[in-house]
Amino acid sequence: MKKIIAPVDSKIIEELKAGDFVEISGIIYGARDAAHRRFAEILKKKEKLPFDPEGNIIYYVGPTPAPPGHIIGSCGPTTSTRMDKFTPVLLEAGLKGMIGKGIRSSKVKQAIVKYGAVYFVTYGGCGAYLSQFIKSCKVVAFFELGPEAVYQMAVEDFPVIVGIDSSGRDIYIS
Amino acid sequence: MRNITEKNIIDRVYSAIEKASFSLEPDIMGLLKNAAQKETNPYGKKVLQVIIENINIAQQKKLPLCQDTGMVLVFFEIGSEASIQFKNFRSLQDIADQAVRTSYKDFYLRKSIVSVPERKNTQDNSPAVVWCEIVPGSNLKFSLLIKGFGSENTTQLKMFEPTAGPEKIKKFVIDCVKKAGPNPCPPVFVGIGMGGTADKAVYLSKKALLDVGKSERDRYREFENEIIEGINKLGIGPGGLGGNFTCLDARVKSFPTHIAGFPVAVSISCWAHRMHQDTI
Repeated sequence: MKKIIAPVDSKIIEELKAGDFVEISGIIYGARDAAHRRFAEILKKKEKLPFDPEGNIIYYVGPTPAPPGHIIGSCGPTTSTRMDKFTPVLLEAGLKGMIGKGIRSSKVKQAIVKYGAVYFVTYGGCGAYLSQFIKSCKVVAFFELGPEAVYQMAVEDFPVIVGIDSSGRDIYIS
Repeated sequence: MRNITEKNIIDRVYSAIEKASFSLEPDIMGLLKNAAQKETNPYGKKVLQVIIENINIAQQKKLPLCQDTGMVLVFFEIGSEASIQFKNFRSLQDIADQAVRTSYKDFYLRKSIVSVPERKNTQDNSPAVVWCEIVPGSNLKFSLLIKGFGSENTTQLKMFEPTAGPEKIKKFVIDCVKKAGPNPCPPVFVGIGMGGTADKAVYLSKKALLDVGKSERDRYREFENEIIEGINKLGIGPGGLGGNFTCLDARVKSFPTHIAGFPVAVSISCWAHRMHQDTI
């Protein structure tokens, strides 16, 4: 088991290998389809993203509403494939990690290698389990997108597995 | 004629949504626990252990099993001797939508439904996908299926030539699961609809998903077992991270078709196969 603190730097990412079990603590950002489309539009116009992608990790998630007494509702990963077309520009802008589930395109894989990033997978459908590792959660952008807004989350020992490492090795193809 | 009030239907669909969102049917639980015990791949085994833990936490903390609380499908079977007493609502669609609206709000379920192509959220997870058949009898039976879209996006329909044999169909089904890979959250359940028209085949593939995990089997038993075996040989495994358990059950539903064609549809459900059936 490896432990990392987010945001991360390339040096730490280089030590992570496909198949490694990793626990993430620190700050990560939750964003999915609609937010990614907006990110890509913002970057195209050379404007500023609602958060600095440098060294950060995006979690592909759209949580359920927090019931009273909870920090967050269920918050498992969504299918990463749908974010593929928006990912290379984010990696170019400094994004270092992504957490999701499922396969990535070859373009994403190439960008991961080029920019020294990492793709983590976590337990699909296990939203109740994963909610235990979220210590705080707030919407930081695109509030009007509801479950598709951008969330800033403080996590503690959030469990992931390295899906694609910075050398391009892929856990799904072995 | 037996009268059934709209409130009666709303209440039952409401509680079916609650049951399905926070717990799995005993048959489905049994299949998952068996897989967790027998899986030999360390990654696959770990995924199954986390799935079991997730199910326990969902129940204890009353958190939805999965954050994708899905689109609601309701398959009504209304007895020809039953009569729905419409008062505040004008259609069965309205009745189902009312149950969705109130339950998704009360149980803090995610509102995932948007208009197309604008993609504007309806804010209450309505509408439900409502199907209705009039059947003999005086009861109103319904089957509720909560469908997440990680798995729904992997649905496939193929119009085969009439001369296509069972081997071709089997290969198509197995290829669908192979192509879906880790995306629909394996171990999956597979519904296969054969025959009818294109739309009928897709409909049947969804209805077939309502039978997975149950002990009753029909004439397709052997064919279904071969499909399950073929899928599990793929080695995709739980979470797509490798293992022997990729498919926990597969069911076929069929309908006669035209001499010129052979529609086959495949619907995949994730391990969190959320359904509930009730009879009024």
